[in-house]
Amino acid sequence: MIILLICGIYLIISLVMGIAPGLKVTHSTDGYVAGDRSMNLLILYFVIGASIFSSFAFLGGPGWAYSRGAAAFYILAYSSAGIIPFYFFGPKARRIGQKYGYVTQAELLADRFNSKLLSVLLSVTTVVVLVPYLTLQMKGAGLVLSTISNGAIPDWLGAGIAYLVVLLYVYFSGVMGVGWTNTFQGIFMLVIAWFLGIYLPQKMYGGIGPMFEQLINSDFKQALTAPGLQSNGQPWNWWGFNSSVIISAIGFTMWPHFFMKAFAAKSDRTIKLTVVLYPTFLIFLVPILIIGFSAVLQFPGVTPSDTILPHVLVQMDLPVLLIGLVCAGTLAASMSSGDAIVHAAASIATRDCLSKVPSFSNWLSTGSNERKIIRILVVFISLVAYYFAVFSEKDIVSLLLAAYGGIAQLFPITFAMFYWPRANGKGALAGLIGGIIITLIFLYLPDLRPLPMHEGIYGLIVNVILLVGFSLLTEPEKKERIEKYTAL
Amino acid sequence: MAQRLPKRLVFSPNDPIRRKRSFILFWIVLTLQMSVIWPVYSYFASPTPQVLGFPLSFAWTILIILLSFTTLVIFYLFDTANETEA
Repeated sequence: MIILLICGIYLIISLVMGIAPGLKVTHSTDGYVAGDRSMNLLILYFVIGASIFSSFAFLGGPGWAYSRGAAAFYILAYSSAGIIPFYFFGPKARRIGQKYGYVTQAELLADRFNSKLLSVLLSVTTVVVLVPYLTLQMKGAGLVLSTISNGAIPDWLGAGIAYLVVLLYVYFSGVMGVGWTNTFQGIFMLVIAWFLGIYLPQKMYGGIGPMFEQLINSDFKQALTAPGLQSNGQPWNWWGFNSSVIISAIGFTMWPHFFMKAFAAKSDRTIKLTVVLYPTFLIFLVPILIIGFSAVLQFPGVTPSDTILPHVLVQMDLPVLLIGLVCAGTLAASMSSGDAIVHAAASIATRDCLSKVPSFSNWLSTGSNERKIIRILVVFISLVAYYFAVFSEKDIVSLLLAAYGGIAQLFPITFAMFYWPRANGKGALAGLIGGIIITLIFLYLPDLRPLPMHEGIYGLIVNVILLVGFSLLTEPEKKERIEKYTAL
Repeated sequence: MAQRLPKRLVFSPNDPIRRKRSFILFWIVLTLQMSVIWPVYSYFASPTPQVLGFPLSFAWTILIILLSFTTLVIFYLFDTANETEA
């Protein structure tokens, strides 16, 4: 009961912190989507950190460490290099965005490549990949609340309550609501993760060193040898490990809920410092993985492995207050990603897709209609994801990994946008479409792959070839257009 | 349409120092990234010996993150693009 009370208090604090800043920003789309471009370092750091550390980190991370051992290190392996492109893309995007009033990634790309079709294509792609991401977050929230209440709160209700709170503050405050709650949630989960990562091995084995010593002397030694195991318990191969790391590192900065924060940043320096300081957030995965490892010998055979954290909490004699805080921390992880995702998806669908429909765009640009539509879509997208979270039995983690293959296809055109003057709209369209088709083919027919690599890698190869080929064979874009993006 | 566009990639054309440093950063980051995947990582793939209590395979990835962090801090401190900002 006390546990639920703590979670309840946490939810209320989130709600208040989320709605309050919304009262300050302007009632424009700029205010709602990009926070009047006023995010400072503290907020941006936590928004970017927290929106990436989702329920996948809190539940999936320990789950992977627990069931697949060293395979979980792939999460550490891609993120440190993966964020670095943002150091260069971010400030450029921010300046162009400020000058021409852009608030989404597709607006930026569509202008450089002079193609409305590209904008529509991008928005459809991003919304499609964001929905499974959101669904995963909701499932996480539901799982936590149902496990700790011993099933008194069913999954659907738990996910419903947590996401009603998210919906409320995203609806009212837009991106600044996301910013302030993520700061609060981020600090909260950092503290909880470090505490558990040190406390659990201490309590069960007498320290982190002795814990790994025992693991190495057990059957788990094979799993601790990189690249770890596959989900079926067989050793993973390097092809799989390498290509997962590479595709994730490339796709990482392309996530719209991440990239779009460049437009919300106050200055170039804010973005750069966020990137520079990001590894300090990343190190927080270390205790997270330790939590998973600590359960290997003590609690064998837990399925699904994603429930390992709540399972450990319920099984061990821990103070009630602590369990409550951990659960609130997990909710924080889920909600802090969920809010950013739903906000990004709704903004993109409106700005990049609906506003390109000719008869609709006039109505949209009058008064606050645009913000109204974004808000309606926030509700709608949440409901769609909620539907999948509750009624679909599909394996969401595999959907998410597949989504990475899709999102990584944005990298070549984003890079070309800033650094290759010769790239043009036809090349961008050909590359993107080709890349996505190839990725989809190999996703659904994995046996056709020449090598057992992530399907997104094949997509990327085709993508780059088409982008370069079509660009060189057709007329370049106008010089004035390119000059906005690249100093010639 | 007699446009004169460079066919090559264009990086910080007005700031050769930053361009040079960015390339150095690129190669360092690439090297670090390559060292946490095959083939380099396979030399550090074993869980033994333990480094500060952590299995070698785990400690290696943590070390790379710390190195990458250090590199980036240094790059930021000497980033010429910072000076032009208000």
